[in-house]
Amino acid sequence: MSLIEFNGEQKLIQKEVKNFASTELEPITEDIEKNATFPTDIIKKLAELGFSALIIPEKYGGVEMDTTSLCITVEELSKVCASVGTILAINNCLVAYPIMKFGDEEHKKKYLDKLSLGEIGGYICEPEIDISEDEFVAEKSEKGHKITGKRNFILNGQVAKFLIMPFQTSAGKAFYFIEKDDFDSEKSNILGIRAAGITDIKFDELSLKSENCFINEEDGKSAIEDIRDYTNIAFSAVSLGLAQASLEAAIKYSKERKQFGKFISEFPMIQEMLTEMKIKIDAARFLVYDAASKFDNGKNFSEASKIARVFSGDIAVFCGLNSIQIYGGYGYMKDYPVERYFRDAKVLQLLEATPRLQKENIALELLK
Amino acid sequence: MNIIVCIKRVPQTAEAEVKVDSSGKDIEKDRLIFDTNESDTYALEEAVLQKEKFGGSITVITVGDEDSEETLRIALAKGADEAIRIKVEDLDELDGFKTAQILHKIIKDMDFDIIFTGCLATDDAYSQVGTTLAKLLEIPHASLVTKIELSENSADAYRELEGGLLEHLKIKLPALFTIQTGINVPRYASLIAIRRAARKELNEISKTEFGEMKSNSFIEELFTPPVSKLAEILSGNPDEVSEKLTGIIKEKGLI
Repeated sequence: MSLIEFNGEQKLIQKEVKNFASTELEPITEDIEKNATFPTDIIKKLAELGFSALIIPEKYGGVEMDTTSLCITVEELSKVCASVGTILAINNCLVAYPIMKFGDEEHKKKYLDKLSLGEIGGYICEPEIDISEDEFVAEKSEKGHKITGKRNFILNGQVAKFLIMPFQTSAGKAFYFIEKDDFDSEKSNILGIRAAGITDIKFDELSLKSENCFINEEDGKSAIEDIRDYTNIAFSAVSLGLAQASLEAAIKYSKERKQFGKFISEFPMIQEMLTEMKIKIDAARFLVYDAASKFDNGKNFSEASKIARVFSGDIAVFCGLNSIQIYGGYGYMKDYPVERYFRDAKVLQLLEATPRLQKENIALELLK
Repeated sequence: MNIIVCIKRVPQTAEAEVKVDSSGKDIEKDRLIFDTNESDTYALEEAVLQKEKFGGSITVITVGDEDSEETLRIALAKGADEAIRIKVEDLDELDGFKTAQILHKIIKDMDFDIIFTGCLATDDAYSQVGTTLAKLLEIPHASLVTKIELSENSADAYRELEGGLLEHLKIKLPALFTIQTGINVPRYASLIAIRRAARKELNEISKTEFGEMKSNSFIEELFTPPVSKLAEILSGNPDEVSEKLTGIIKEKGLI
């Protein structure tokens, strides 16, 4: 028996998602990525089929599927369009999961129901650097904090009806809900996953009210680690999908392109590149689905998810580069999809938490 | 309105590299992706649309191996109520005539108003099962149906004919219709419906319960036709090319 053996339900989900991706998503991907257009219609269709609420319990209107199925879904969509895979990974892992895990019943009822009805939620990434007071001011008063200024990397920011914001106070990290009316967002000009609706955001004296806080400073540190670990699993599935797309494109092209009277697939150097990609992808697939399986079986998934994220992130970039190389000069042209696979793969090494942070945390565990 | 839909799991060969296997009578299927036959998905959708309009139930039936279970479960997720698999492990022994006989054995005792099948299976392209089944059941049928309107005891079926003609038939129920692609827009199964369908029990019946049945056709050989003549690419400036082209056309006696 293989280490990865999907059950009947998971195989059916894989089949239907693959079918949707090739029929509905593939024809529009090039256009939405080129023009950085959020795929509103596709996301609406996907939401009607349950994709915006993949892991949300049925009692809140969700599909309540396991994390392995979540990864299958995200991988299959990402093979065709990493933006769409990422949008749904964010909606489920960085928005639904924290509410499911840490929200009270009132929050669950309010926000999980919204997500199950097809609304998209967003997540404000923590700033990578200290933002100067010129750009972000948090005034503390008896009633809470009042914030003014800018934040970058708002995931799903373009369409989100509400956001989750981790917010560092002197007492620690707290998580707040921010409603659509309380922020203005502006599309970020980013290199990859250009259709994913990542934005910058501005606050103008926004009061962070205590009733909108759903993870307080006491639990904030462990919560963000847990949320990151869970999100790592789905983001690694996006990378895996991209790596597989790169390999499939490279195989197809190498069997069509002739050089010196032979198909380039007949050249040992090309064969070696394809083989290296295949070996790495298979290894990444084991890691991704091992992390998902650990979560599904109630085991500690923290280290496995970080390893999966780091490795799959790296191999997606590797496969993107190899694929460009196999395409030769054409690989560097926007007329072919492989340069997109590479650009998208790179973002996944940066989104929300970088490989350096993941590696540091793995090392700290090793050295305990 | 009780509807039966006959569906089939087929390899997707339209864009795949298809190779003849060592037997010389079949294709290599190991690397091919299998899915529900295209026109069968339209037949199923038509059944679901009619059920939504008139109520009743849908039973999907397939004659197939264990892997066909997947096809039935997707049909359940899209709106079918019951699913039956007539177990056949060696699919190579089936031709359209034999499949129709097997389906007849089980459907003849069922209570139904309508049978929908796809108009053509993309793997063998016989277009035989639907019409043969109607003959065996001694019920009327219409093939290649592009539109259907149902009333209590009859159906108005529309068929597209060559030359841009549309044929309108009034058919008494129970009847069988083979459905043309494009008649509707097949839906995707929702994820929650897939989860429920995955857990639903399927009815499985062994083909052997129906006794021996005969095929009426046998594959002698499957092969890629030899390339008789390569395409000729004419070179030169437009005047030279048009002169060469005119010469070829004259040589062939076409003008």
